[in-house]
Amino acid sequence: MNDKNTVDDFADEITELFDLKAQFLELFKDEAIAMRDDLVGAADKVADYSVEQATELAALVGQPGFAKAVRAARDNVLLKSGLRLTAQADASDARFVGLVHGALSLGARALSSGLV
Amino acid sequence: MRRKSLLTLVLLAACAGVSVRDHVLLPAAVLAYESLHVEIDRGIADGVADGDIDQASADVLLELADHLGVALASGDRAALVSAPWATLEVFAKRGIQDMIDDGDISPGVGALLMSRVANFRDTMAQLLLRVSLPASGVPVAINQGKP
Repeated sequence: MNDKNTVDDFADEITELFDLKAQFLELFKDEAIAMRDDLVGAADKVADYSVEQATELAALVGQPGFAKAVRAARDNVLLKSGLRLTAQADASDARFVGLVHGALSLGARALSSGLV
Repeated sequence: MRRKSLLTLVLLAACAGVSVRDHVLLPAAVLAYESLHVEIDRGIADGVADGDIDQASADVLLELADHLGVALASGDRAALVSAPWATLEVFAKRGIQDMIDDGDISPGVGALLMSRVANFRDTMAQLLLRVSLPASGVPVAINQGKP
């Protein structure tokens, strides 16, 4: 390994370590991808519950109070969607807190190194 | 451009908890309560008819049921806290059972209506939890930031 390569490698590492913009963006990217995946998962669960309610409704056709059952199934899907989304939103909020913490840590590290 | 989109998504998600409870959870509860209110009224009437509660108590319960409806519709969190859903839930179930007993609805339909009661109970628990504890876990004053 020659000296030039060693210097270049070291310079690259320093650049990468203290390129706050790149690191912040990387953090944002990771969190955004995780949030997207969670949202898709929540949507899938709501869709499954909708199918479940529709299946129950199909078995009740012609029974007394069927109209009430239709309304209850609609309400159930809405309530369940709200509950799922709430759980998802809590997770997103928690992620954002973690994200801010991570970004602050990066900034603090750069500041303590005297490079910013 | 893609990076800006990701950043926007993350920033939007930062207020997701507040947005979801105000714009999804609460409206869903309001809609469901329209039917639940009818079931509660029926349960209270059945309680009076069976001699389990007197008319004065029934009047108080009916008022509480109205109170919860108003609290949900207005989104008034302080009013939600004071609305005794646990008490009203008993009468919602009783109302559904009375409909089954009277042949107004089939047992299968009754089961679906009962599941709405359970979902509404979970929703109320979430709404009440968020009155005093936001997603950050830091207690805040009721109606903070609201007119």
